[in-house]
Parts: sequence; structure tokens; C-alpha cells
Amino acid sequence: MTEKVRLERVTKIFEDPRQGRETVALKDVSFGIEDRETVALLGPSGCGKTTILNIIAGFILPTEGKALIEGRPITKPGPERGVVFQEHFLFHWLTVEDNIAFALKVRGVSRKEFLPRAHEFVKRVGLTGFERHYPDELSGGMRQRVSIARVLINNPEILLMDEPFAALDAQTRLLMQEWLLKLWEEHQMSMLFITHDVDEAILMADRIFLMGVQPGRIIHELKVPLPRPRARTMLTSQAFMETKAGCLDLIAKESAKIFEHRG
Amino acid sequence: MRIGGTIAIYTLSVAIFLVAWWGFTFVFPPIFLPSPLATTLKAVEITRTGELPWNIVMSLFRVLSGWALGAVVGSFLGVVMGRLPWVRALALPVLEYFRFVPPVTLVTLFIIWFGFGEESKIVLIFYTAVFIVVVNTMAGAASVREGAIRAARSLGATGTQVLFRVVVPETVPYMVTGLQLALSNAFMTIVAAEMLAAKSGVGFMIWDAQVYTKTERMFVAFVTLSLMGFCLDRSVHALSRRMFVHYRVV
Repeated sequence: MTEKVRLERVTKIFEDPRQGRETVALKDVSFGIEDRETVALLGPSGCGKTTILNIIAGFILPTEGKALIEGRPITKPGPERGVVFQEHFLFHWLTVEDNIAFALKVRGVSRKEFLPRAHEFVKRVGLTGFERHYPDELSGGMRQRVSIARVLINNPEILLMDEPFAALDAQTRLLMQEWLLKLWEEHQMSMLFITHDVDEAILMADRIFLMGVQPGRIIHELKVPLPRPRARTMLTSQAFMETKAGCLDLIAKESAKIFEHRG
Repeated sequence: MRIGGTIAIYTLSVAIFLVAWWGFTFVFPPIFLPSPLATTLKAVEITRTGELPWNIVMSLFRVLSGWALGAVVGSFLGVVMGRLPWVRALALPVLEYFRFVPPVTLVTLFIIWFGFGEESKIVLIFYTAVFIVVVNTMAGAASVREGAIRAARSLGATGTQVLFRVVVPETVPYMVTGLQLALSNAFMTIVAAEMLAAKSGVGFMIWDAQVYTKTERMFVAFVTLSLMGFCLDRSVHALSRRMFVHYRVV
């Protein structure tokens, strides 16, 4: 199996020059993401999970260690790494089709050529009829589907999802999870999925990295024993429950440590 | 319903004002306070002679050309200053000092520099407008959502593409606010400038009327000014809302 992404002993230190303080956001993080594999980073806020995503996306550079995409060092953002944010960050002055076609437009593809492709992706994310709508006219779930289509059109090596469904209500979130699983079956891309929702991590991922705080680091790796294709019905299966129990156990132990530590 | 209500309130408000004005003309002699009717008749008269339209056109020409220049230069400078922190850091203190020099006070200086013709007036309006547009655009460009920029970059946009396809559109609402404020300021400045140093324009009309105590003409000028300002402000407002429907212009 080939690895899409590799982090090698990555440490990230943020400096606050005004207060002269340093924060160790990540300490010594190493892992790889295989081709077609979904890895979930699960942890509380402040554990550095978004920092990991930002490093792989190329938005920030590690202080120490290496970050590689298909063996090449990551130095800047690139269309082969599609990023989906919790806040969709769509371009609100562009229609759905123009948002989705953004990557083609900046590559100089003509409108005549990119429109059919954009419409194909509008269809794939189930938004037919909304091509000419503006993001402000869509529901939260629809916006997130547009921002996923916007990166899928690049045919990325890996999808980097930063709590993409955290801002949605519970029903919509469940529908979106199911929808994303179906989409995954069609595209079978690698994925890094950040979440603080245990159920979501288990449902989406092949492997889960539990993260701890102060400093942000990976404390446990869990393999999810659920088969593909995944479905919502697995949420109540025996294997799911066992995985969840183990997961919650580890989280509880870690939390207790922090609790004692802080007194 | 709401638009109808607004029109009704505006009409009522103006009507009350007119009645009050008319009432006071029984107390003061016409040389102090000409009646609404006398003012209207005078307006009709100097419209027929072409005097009033000519002065309106001159004032509008000065305001709009100076304002347009200020808009273009100000938007450009504002975006540059908003995106480059070191340029901003260097420019802000100077902006802070110059803020307290009212544009009108520069009329005489600009006449020395640019002569008594239209240039000095247009430069003055440009100066008035450019500051306001720069300050507003800069605030907008500096507060562009970092996530939108990151999204564009990770979709493959280059630095220049990010600037024109993300930063500028995100800054539009701030630019529009700046343009509107600049227009009303430009208006006040041009009237004052025309009173001090011009041979045409609505401001000149007021000055001229005062010298010869032609109070009726002065009142025509006041009414003209308020109508011009109101119409310009509303047109810019309506136009910008129509042009930038999806840019979240307030």
C-alpha cells in the first residue's frame, strides 16, 4: 500500500511575541495516511488537531519534523489536498456553479468548458436546480455539500475535513454523514477527518487517533473493525458499541489525568 | 407597504417644515425670510434664465469628477494598505494627523498650486474623498476572512488571483460605505470652496446672494443643495445595492 500523507516527528510551537510566551501546539506527532484510507483525529479543543490539518494543507509549516504528500515535502497549499472547513468559507458573491468551478477558473479554463464540469459536480452532490443560487440562499448542509464539490472537482489525492459537520444540527449531521459515506464509495479517496464527536469518528474512519492536550499529541491509535461500505445502521451494531466503549474508556482515563494534573 | 409608509413620513415631515416656514414669514420681513412661494417663483425664474441649471451642473461636475478620482485611487491604496501591514503601519500615523486638517482650509493652498480654474476644486474634492475611501477600504481589506483566503489558495489560486478574486470582493461592502461617506463630505466641501473661490456653482450662488442681500436666491440655493445632496446620496445607495446584490453591502 502506498502512503498519501506522512508526518514524521512533527512539532509545532506558536510564539506570542507580545507576551514572549511559547505554546507547544503539537509535540512529536508521527503518522501516515494510506491510499483510500480515512483517518480520524479525535480530541478536545486545544489538542492540536486543526494544527495537524493546517500543516498537511500547507497553511502553516511545522517547527520541527517533516510533512510529506506522496513523498514530497509540503511547503504550500495545493489543489491535490482539498480542504473542507467547519465554516464553509464559500465565496458568497459567486453562485453555486461558480463556487464549484473556482479551481478551474483560476487555472484559466474557459466558461464554456468549466460549466458542464461544474454542473456534473452539482449533480454529484445532489444540488441540481441550485446551480444559480448564492450560498446565502442555501441551508447549512447544502453549503457544506457545495464546499465539498468545490474541492472534489480538483480530483484531490486527499480530502482534509476540519469538523465539517460540527456547525450543523443533529438531524442534518446524520444525513450528511450518510451522504459522505456514499460519496466515499464513489470516489474512494484518502481522507483526514477531524472531529470531537466519537460516533462520527467511528462511523467515518478506518483508524482513529485519539489526541491529548498540553502538549497536543497522539495518545492512542484505534482500528475501527467495521466493514465497508459503511451505513448508518452500524451505529447500533455490536462492533460499533464495543469500539465506542473502548474509545470512551481511553478518553475518560486521559481526562482524569488532566483533571488531577490541574488540581 | 413599507415603502409607501416611508414616502408618507417624508412628505409629512417636509409639509410640516413648509408650513412652519410659511408661518414665520408673517413675523419677519421678506428680506430676512422670503416665503416658500416667493422662493419657488425665484427658482422658476432663474431656471428659465439658465442660471440655476448652470450652477448645478458646475457643482455636480466638480463633485463627481473629484469623487470618482478619489474612489479609484482610494480603493487601490486602501486595499494595498489593508493587506500589507508594514505599509499600513507607516501610513496610519500620517493619516491620523491629516484627519484634523479640514479640506476647506486647503482651498487657498490648492489655488496657489493649481490655479483658479477647475483643477484646484477637483483636487480639493479628490483630497476629501480619497481619505475617507482609503480608511474604509483599508479596514475592509484588513478584515478579510483568513479562511476564505486559505480556501482559495488550496484551490490553486495564486497571490494575484487571491487579491482580485477574494480580497477585493470581500472588501466591496467597506468600499461602498467609504464611497457614500466620501460623497456627502465632497458635497459639503465643494459648497464651501465655491463660496470662497469660484465664479459658478451653488456655493457661489449663496455667496453672491449674500453680497447683494438677494435673500430669495440664497433660499433657492439652500433648497437646491438639499435636493441635490439627497438625490445623489439615494442614487449612489440604490446603485451600489443593485450592482453588488450578493456582496453583502449594508
